Amino acid sequence: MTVDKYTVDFLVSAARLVPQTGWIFTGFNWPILAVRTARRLGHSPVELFESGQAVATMTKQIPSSTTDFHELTASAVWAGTTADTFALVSRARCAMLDAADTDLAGRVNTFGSGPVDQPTFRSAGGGGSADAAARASTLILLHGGSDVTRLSTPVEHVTATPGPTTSVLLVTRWGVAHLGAERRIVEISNHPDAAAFIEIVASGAELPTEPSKRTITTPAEHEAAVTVLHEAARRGYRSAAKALGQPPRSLGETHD
Amino acid sequence: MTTIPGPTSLERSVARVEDGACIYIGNFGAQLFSVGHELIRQGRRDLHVVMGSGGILLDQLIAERVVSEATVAHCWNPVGPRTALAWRDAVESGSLILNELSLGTLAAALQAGAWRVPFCPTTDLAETGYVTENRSGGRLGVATSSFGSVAVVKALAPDIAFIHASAVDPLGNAWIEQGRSDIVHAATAARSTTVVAERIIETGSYHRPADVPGLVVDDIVISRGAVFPDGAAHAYPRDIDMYVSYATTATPAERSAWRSAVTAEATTT
Repeated sequence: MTVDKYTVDFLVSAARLVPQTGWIFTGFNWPILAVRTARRLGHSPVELFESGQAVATMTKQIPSSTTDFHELTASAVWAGTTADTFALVSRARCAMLDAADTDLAGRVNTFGSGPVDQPTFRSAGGGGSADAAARASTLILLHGGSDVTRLSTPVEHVTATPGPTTSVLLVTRWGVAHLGAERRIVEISNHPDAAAFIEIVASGAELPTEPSKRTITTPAEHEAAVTVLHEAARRGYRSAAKALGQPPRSLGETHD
Repeated sequence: MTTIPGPTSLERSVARVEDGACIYIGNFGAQLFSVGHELIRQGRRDLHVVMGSGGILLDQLIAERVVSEATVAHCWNPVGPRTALAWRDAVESGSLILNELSLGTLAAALQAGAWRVPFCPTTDLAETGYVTENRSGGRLGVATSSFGSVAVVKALAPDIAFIHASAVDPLGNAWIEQGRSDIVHAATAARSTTVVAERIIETGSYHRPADVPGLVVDDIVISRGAVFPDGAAHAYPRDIDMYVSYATTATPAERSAWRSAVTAEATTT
């Protein structure tokens, strides 16, 4: 089975935005994978998790979620309350959140779809994403989806929205865009739908005529990302298994 | 110093929960499956459950009709992540009274409960569905003072809080080795708090002061593997397979078998 090249490039693009040093608020799913990829490439951030822990070194195994305390605690350099944690977010270099359903205002929907009282699809809800997004100085949204048209319409429900002074970056397989009042393309990938991404982001915004091309993924970056995808798939991450062309982890698979 | 009556059994501690009570079940991300499963076994009904992360424990409590109202920040199977199906069905059908708060606002609500004040400043969620669609159930507002205005959340004080600790001493002082999240606020806000600890230790023998003061603890349960199949810091790992297998349960019999397997495995942690 072959790994999805565009997912690897997406993951590498996100990893490049992880600070070399300093603190980053790390959300579940793609952000965990992006920071781990960055660590494998030599970055040494301190990761702050909504569960009230900060981790300075790479955990032995990839945590199965941001509340995988057995994994996280062994590498923890700080532990505190929820209030402490969100007070720290504004001081962190950035907050990185998963954004499967997002829009060009940087709003994220994890409520689902349909009427509030009787939704047609009910999703998990937001956890601490609203608190982190509202306080972040820089918010990096990782959209792992493969349907570029999903970005063209405002989210149906708003779970999290950037604060009034938050700078927002949207990372996708098609490219990276700076959102908000000064919306612009930061980089563009070689994905076949990249032109559609430009068109969607450009609607109602002034874009530079020549957006930067995404820097080609190096062999070292590719290896780091694929290694993380394999680690993550073994720990149950469905998005990683999908990228590797594998079915989701089933019972009895070998642990790390 | 007040000495708490010696450790009690999980069965007796959970029996104190009356039908219709409001209970906090901790911890955020290390869920007290032992408590939830005992609530199911005892056939409790109409509970209002407060949980930072609902997870597959809340999913079971909904599926087994223990819960009629929930105040939560989210609910899913964190391994995958996967959808929590009973949660999804209950919310989609409107059969669950849901008060939805962000994790920060939920913690602030418990903090207000702990301080015995009517509300607490919190994250401004005015542009989100928590406020615009009243997903919070009327728990979010704005307070104005001579110092300015601020978003606030209504105080929340559960009848009983169950919190998980790595260790507890006979005075009820408890040590938590994971992120502290909303645990101390919940323990202080609740009218009665039970510490479910992995082990009991002699007073003064831990290497640092306690996280939860015995002052707010009314009951101690010693239960090795209390949060299994979740993991406990420095004790036992999350059992990924158990989480994956939960997603295959669909009937009461399958869920019952899953809980039996959890109970059996928990004793070996």
